[in-house]
Amino acid sequence: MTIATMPAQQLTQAPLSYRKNVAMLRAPQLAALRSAFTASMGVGDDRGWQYWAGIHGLPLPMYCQHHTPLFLAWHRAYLYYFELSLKDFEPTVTLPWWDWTSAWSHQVGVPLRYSDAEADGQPNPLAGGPINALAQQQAGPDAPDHTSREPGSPANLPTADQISELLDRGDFLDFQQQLESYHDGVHVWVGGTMAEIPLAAYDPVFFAHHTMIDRIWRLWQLRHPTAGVPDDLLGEALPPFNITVAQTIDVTALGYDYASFSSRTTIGG
Amino acid sequence: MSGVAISFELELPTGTARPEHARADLTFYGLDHSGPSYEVRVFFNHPDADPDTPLTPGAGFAGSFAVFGHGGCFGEEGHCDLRPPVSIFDRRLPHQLVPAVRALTVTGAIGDLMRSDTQTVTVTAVPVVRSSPLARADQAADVLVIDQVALHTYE
Repeated sequence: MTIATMPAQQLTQAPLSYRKNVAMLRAPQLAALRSAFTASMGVGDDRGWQYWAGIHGLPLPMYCQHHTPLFLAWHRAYLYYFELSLKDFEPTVTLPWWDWTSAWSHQVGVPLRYSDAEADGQPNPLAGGPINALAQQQAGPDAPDHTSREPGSPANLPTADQISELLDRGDFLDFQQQLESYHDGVHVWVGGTMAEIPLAAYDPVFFAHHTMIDRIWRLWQLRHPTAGVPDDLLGEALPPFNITVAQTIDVTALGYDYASFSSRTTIGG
Repeated sequence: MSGVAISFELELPTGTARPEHARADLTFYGLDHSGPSYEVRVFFNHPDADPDTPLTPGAGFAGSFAVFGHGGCFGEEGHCDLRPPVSIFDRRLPHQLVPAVRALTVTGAIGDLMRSDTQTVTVTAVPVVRSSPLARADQAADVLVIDQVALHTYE
């Protein structure tokens, strides 16, 4: 066995990573995303896909928080740690969001970048994922070994007007409850394994959907800077992650933010 | 797959409590989410509504919401039984199957009823379970459980 020691380079003054709309990813960004997912799916230990998808649902224990006040904070932590695991394979990668309110989504539904069976002559890793063998065993004899989708009519996805009204709500718990309702609707709309908590996270589109949810929370935070998560929740831990609710509040402290457009040029050095 | 619908009467605001409202929410408390995911279609004054009823105002359709379900119990016997805290020192997170709350905004439909001087409305909640790899018909049959429903209007 070879144990490699990596230098702690580039850990200081690191710029924020910007998550982007999946529809706006340029070819190299999309290639990096696919490369990271492919690499993750190729690793069978706790650096890879089976481990990270399994945290949300099966195999037991199911750590995800649904229908509880920790819904947004837990999933923000989940995306944060999963994104870091992808960066281990592709350092520039960030999780893109699927804007299911867009006019394009209301025509085509799931983004083609997540539904095309092939990309550049290779199987598209964003089109679906394998399901952990132990999860299959626990789910029972009818459990699938791969994800599936049965999307509804694209016109039935949440609308921009609904999200605009949601962002006006000033109380965090009211906002979170309604956002989770839209979230549930999209899971059920995608159908197949995305409609089942135990298996949903094995589908790569799960992460594009949840990045949209996390982005809406970020937009709400910007609009209501003096409102926020109730104090009695801030100290809660978010297992299995070594982070509290309070540590999820500021996304820039987690090293990322959301951008509809961003570019960067290196000058000198 | 569909489950058993639930119908109930709900009082509407009367007299001075009946101003023009900017928003009306029907809030459903105590929703079970231990089984398959499901959609709840809500109809006003259509107690016979079922999964085939058109989703149109003429059929009394007021809106719908979805509940993301846990898909059943995958542990041993008792694994999914709701456990309360054992004491005030119990720092464990709440049980994952604590019933859910969902609010459905029905501003337009409630406004129409109030303008017609109606005093009560019959609300029918129709659960619809789409087929999925883990969803079973026996789970779908009793998927809809509601503890309370409240109507809140906002000026």
